[in-house]
Amino acid sequence: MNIELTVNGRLRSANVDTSMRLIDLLRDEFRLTSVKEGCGVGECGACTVLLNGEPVCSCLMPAFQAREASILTVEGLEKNGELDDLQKSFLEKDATQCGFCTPGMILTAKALLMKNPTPSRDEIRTALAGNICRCTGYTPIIEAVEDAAAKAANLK
Amino acid sequence: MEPMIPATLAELAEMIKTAEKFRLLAGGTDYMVAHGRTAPDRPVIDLSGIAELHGITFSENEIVIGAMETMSALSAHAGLRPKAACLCEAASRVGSWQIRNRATVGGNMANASPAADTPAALAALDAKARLVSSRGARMAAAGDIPIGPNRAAIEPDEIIVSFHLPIKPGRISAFGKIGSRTQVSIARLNLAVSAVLEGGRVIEARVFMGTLGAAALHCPEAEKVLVEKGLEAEEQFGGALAHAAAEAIPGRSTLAYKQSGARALAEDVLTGLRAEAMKGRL
Repeated sequence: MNIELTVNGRLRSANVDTSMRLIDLLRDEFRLTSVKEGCGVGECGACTVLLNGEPVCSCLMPAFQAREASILTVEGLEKNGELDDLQKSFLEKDATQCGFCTPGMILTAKALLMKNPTPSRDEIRTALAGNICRCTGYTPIIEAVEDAAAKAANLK
Repeated sequence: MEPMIPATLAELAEMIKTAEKFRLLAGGTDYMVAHGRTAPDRPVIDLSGIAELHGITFSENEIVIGAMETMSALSAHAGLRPKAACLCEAASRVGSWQIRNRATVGGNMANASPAADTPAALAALDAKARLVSSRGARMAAAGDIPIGPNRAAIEPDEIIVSFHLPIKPGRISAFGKIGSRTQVSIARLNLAVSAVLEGGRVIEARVFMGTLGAAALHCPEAEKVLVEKGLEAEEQFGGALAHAAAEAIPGRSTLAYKQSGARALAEDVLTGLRAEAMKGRL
């Protein structure tokens, strides 16, 4: 079937069947390879994308269920050649090592900050519970989210 | 194969009548783990386009929750928590944020995993599921639907449309869960309890424990403890739960663990109930 959806602000259409997952559509058809497949069963969060602003595992969603939806991947964060503040904070705080979990981690954190611009450390930990990192030990990641939140608050 | 995507319950009923075998797809968080990108062995009917399966509405006597409401919608619903704390808590403890954004309350019941979190909570709140087929509609007690590991007492041509929770004055509830870690965890044991208080006394209690062969094991002995001894009787309440576990899974290697877990959950859940009672000044 043919579906239409908005991906990173651009209206796209695609031909999908029942067994195509959202991650397959994003990676294989749209070449958005920031979306990573880790476990493939919804446990690691590497494939996280934002569906209408909400984090979801793109490996657990049939592509056709994303019809008429708005999807955000990390490729859509950069504006006019400049990284999103959250991406900058991840770089400044050394919150990435191998980088495989980073796109999912950033998108979940992005969704959190859109809903709750000043999250507590506990709220950050709860929000990121579904994103597994095997390198950093999480501390720099949490600090990066706090840093981005603090910078956004100071701008106001 | 292309999915079938009904827009209304009437269209769905027609598809179910004509398709001989089919799979119903709700949020996909169980379906995709089982089937992933493999081509489906039978037609898939997608429930995500049916508006009638959505909504959380309140009337004087009951709360109606559409079967396609997500765990996130339940856990974040400000109006629901004061009246159905155990259900909100159970929903908020399912999987990760990502999973809760897709997983549905109807799917959690229909999939009938013994470790599902919301069926026990719905049962403790005396919820009834509204089941619809081309033969008509019927109401079934939530506690009667999970009948074994991934077995639900739902006919092949029936679908869960909504859950109906009676509103009872003076009722409080709490949910507890033990998993391998505090977040993103499948329950090793869960417990949902509701109690109706009158003048500080428990006059009615509903206790359901999950993971012991089915998602919601009714524990009448533990209910009796709460009515007779009140919300302080942690040891006797835990003892009754441990006894119920022994009767449900006699001789199972995990029984000792489940019994120890039941006693710990008894303390947690009664602490939660006492806090609820204080909040409601009951």
